[in-house]
Amino acid sequence: MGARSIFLADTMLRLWWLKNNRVMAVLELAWPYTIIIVLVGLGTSYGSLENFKNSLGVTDPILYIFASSSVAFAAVGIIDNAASVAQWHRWLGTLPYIMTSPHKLSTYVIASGLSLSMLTLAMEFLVLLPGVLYFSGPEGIARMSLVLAFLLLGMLPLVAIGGIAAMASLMVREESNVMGFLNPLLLLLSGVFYPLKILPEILQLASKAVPVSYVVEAAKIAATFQEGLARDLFLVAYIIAAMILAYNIAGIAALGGFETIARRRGVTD
Amino acid sequence: MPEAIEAIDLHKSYVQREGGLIRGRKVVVKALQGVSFSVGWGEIYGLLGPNGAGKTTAIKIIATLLIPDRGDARVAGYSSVHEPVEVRKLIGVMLSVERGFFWKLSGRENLKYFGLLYGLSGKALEERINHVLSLVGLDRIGGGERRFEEMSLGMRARLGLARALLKDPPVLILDEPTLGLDPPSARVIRSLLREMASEGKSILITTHNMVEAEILCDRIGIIDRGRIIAEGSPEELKRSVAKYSSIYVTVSGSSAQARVIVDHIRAVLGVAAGIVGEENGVSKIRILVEPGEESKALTALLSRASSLGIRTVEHRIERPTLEDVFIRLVRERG
Repeated sequence: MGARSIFLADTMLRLWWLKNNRVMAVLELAWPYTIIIVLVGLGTSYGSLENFKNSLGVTDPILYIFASSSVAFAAVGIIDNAASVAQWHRWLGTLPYIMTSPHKLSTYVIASGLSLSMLTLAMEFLVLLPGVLYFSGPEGIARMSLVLAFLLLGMLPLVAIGGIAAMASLMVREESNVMGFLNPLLLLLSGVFYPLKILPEILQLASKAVPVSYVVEAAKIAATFQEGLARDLFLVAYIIAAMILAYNIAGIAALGGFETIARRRGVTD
Repeated sequence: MPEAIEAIDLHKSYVQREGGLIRGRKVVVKALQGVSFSVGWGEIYGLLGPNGAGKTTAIKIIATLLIPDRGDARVAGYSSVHEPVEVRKLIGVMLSVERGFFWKLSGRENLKYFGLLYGLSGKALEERINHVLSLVGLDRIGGGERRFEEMSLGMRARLGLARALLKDPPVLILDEPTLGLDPPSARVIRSLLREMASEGKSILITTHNMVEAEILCDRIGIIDRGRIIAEGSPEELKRSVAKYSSIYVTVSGSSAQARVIVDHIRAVLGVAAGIVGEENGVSKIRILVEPGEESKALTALLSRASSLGIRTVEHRIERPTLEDVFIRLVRERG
């Protein structure tokens, strides 16, 4: 039982939900392309895609945009997803029944947020597949898969923070993610929209503590993948692994306290 | 063996903010002020009280949703405060008839979700869902395949009960399970609860429906402003505020003839009786008897009147109701 049963239940829940909300399902599948159109437009604001390529320092800007944007959004999305799952259950009135299942609420919001993030990611990957195949061929798919692996890795350091965002949003009785203000900051520090080197020095320093920036770096390496860069990818993987440990040990220790406060205040309505 | 449910000296206060952001002030609302009660195995216990009395707060604490400021709640000996996961394995909960499900999912999909969450899976889960759907009668009316948003209130209540029974828990905690239901649907739910109790499940319900409490509950705790102000079986509670039932009999004839009947009743049954009115050749007699003795007294009176050739115009029995108890107790507290 435990996190596995939560993960399974919540994955099934979302698949049933998509099956019974067909218009919503189509829109969910279309949005990655909408984002890409915006980002390509942003890219051409550099003058041309060639200029954009040079300023980003990648050989395959389309793949980079495909990958890094979904990487950054999905990696940061774990925070939003965990918080929105908790809010959603409160709106529906299902939260008391989640809380009276034999799991801790903190375990639930983390496992459920992960389920939502991974499902979103899997759907994005499947939806982007034809686009990547068209622009970058089978090699692009291979690179995209590599990025996906890094994305999954990159989400994990933020898992406990997602749990804290969920508990905090429930406790202050706001109807949105109270830690949502972090997302634009995390995206800025990730280097997905602007190369980190053009940011002020203090922000460049801060970006070193942001896991998403390493995932974006991995996406960038994958987009320019050449022999010899594998070592760099491993280095990124090690850094992210260290962050998973550091962030989650601290986060999970804090979550226990948050759960007690939540039960003391009453968060179901 | 520990009791199914024990509430031990529960205290809970909420801080509410009144007024605006700048000139507002914090108000402390004492929701529970030392609530204690227990529910035995196979017993239906009703928490009866007006709105805001603390019923829902009490059951939320027992169901591990809230931590009290003081006191503890225990389910089968496990503490709701310190061992919530153990308690959750033993309870089935129903907190609202109208909400609490995924609107776009069918009844069966909703139950599957909660079943998976409760650790059931595969064939065992399918069988359990079929069983509970049949138990609450939703299978006969297509409730399993209908989306929650398309269900009537009665169907939603049945689905809520089906979810509470999904993991076959020994203890059910139900907050106003028939609120807003039409009489036939409420009757279905009540008969299901009776059946569950006869199978040994312990049931704690909150309600402010006096009739429901009277016919459903083995014992009742009346709660008002965060305190249990009376507790006992419906009969015990009624006896505590009104010791006697009144029998009113109107007979045609003079007061002298009525007096003969009254004397006979006093002598034979040893109960208080008297003439409470006389007008236009009819007399009204009132007899006070202990609850449960009404039929015996009425039969004796009618038989004596008949033997004297006195015609009885009408008769009625006024028994104390749980509503009398409730209103009197709550009014006594101001």
